[in-house]
Amino acid sequence: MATPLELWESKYEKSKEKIDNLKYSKKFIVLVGSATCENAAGATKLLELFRNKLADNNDVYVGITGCTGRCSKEPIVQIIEKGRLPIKYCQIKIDDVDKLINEHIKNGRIVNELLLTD
Amino acid sequence: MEEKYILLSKNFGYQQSKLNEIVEYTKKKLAEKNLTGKVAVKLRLDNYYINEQILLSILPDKLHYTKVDFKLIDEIIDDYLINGKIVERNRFQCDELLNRFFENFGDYNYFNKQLRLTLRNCGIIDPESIDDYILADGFKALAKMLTKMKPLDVIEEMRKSGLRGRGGGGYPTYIKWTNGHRAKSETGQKYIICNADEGDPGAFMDRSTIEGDPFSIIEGMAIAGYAVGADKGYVYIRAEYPLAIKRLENAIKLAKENNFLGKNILGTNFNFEIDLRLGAGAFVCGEETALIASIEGRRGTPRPRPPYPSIKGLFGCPTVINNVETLANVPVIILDGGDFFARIGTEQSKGTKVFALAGKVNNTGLIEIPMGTTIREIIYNIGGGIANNRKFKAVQTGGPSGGCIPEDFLDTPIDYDSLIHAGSMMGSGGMIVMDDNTCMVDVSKFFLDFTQNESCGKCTPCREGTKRMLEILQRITEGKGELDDIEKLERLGETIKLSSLCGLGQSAPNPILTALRYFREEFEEHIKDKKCRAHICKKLIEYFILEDKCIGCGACKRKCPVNCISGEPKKLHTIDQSKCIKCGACFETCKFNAIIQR
Repeated sequence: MATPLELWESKYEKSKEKIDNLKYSKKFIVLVGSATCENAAGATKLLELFRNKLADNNDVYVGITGCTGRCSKEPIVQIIEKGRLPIKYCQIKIDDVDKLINEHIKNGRIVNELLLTD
Repeated sequence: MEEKYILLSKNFGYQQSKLNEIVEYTKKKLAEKNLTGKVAVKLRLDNYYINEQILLSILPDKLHYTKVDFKLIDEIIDDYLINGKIVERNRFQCDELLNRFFENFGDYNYFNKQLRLTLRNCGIIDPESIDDYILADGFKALAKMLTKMKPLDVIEEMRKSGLRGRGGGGYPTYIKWTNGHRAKSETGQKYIICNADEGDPGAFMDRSTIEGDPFSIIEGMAIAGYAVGADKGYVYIRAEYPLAIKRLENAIKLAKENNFLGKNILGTNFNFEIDLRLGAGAFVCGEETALIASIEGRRGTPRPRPPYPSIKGLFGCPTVINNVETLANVPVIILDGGDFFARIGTEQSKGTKVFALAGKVNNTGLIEIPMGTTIREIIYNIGGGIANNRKFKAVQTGGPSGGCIPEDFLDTPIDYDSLIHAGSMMGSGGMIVMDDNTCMVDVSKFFLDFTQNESCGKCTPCREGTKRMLEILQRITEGKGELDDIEKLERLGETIKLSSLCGLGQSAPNPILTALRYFREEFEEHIKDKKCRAHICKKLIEYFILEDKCIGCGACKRKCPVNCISGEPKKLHTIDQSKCIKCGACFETCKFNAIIQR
């Protein structure tokens, strides 16, 4: 009979495989902050836009995460390129979405003016 | 933007000067090799995890080294950064916990000064995916406990950790659990309750924790249930938090599907179920006996203790009530050990504390710091100083139960006892920073107005006493204060503190009493000179037009809703003070700064 810890480990392996396929195998991970505060700052619409615009791009995973605690800088969008430092963008507006997709995701250029810097 | 970060920190207590030397050396060496601009050197908060002096991490590669010295820096820069060969000397495979929040750390000052245990997954994992939580070692503490620990081992680990209740009171968690464990229940039924009835103005720690990492609360509750011998838990959460409720419901459903909740958890004979109960927003329902009454379907009013809920609580059964933040810390303690947890913080207050930093600071937000960090460090380092370069005046902690701490106490370390000594309290973690534009009488009135509204009315001192105090404060802000009002406030306040039934009343006078202690002269000014130095109390302000600045454009005259400004075009205008309602419209309208408040 497997111990609870052994059962947990087998669950861990399954979760890892699942998340690897879904998320970590992708070249880019886009995480939009999602919490009451983020949503109030406009994150819901951002998430929808990212999902729609990147729907047929197999290199990108678009998902949500809780709030990072940067109330004054929300909404926060993180773009994590495989093997590179994670990048956080702050106070993202609907008009910025195209810029982030075209510059960062399509061309690998970080959009300096939108970076969270401190 | 740099491609890599070298992140340096030292072990807690190790010499700062040594770390500074290493930092300087690294920077110099990087410059010599023309790597400045490609690799950045960043500092992090003291490291509590490993007893190995100076630690170094290379990001995003997640390579970690201990016992860092000049030679190791040489090797890392020459062999790894330049030639791509990983240095194996002094390298360590990182403890999972340390690994968790690297996505957040490294690049931002704001995060580097924090230590995140409660919020370890917030902003990193997907709060709606159980797989994400499991990958962050979620439910591993539960599995470890069910494999290796007996209920008393769990309680012993909690004792070693020194964790105290994060809801505000600071009662040692292990004592609650021990009492619950020992208590006899006639029916054998015991309960765990998670208190998520967060009602302090300006506090949102619990909401963010639940929205960002709902599974950790569930895991903490299940562990508490095992230790106490309970098979049923309730989360009492405000109905005003719809997203938190949705995430929690989703988390409970997923945990059940994965056998982390329900019957025979992970193949053992331990059963645990969790249900939600929604609070209707009464502040007093955060008090444990009122909360229990509310879950039972009765009116949410407190009752005298003892018996304490851990002996006789929900439906008469032994019940352990813990706050959200307390429960979120439990998996960390079980997984990494009470001894690890006890390394963080001060002698009497262990671990970290989450604060909702709000008010007049540049970086408002949710922060988590080790106990013992000073208020100055929070406001000036993490908070980035006072907004608009204004002057610091006071910081309010503990919400309506706490108090305002003045500048003299900025170096107070954050822990339960120091804050009480300074006249405030930890409370649930609201921290409101105020600048010199704040009127302390007005702030006192705000908090008292809140508690007065929220008083349940069961006991006289709280119901009537706070009402009378509020009336006096109202009078003072209207310029009708009398000389003995301050004494009256103090006497009433002390009486209410001593004689109220529950924590709400016992702490309601605190904001006023501390304001009187530190800002007495402002109250006296309001009463004697009928002046409000911050120009907040409307009835005490006079608007006045300056002769040398007024050009007679008439803009103020047109804006004035009561027509109390007169004057010929292009000549000096005047305000009729007897008619002025102090709305401030003229003050905001004047483009020539000719109107002043005094």
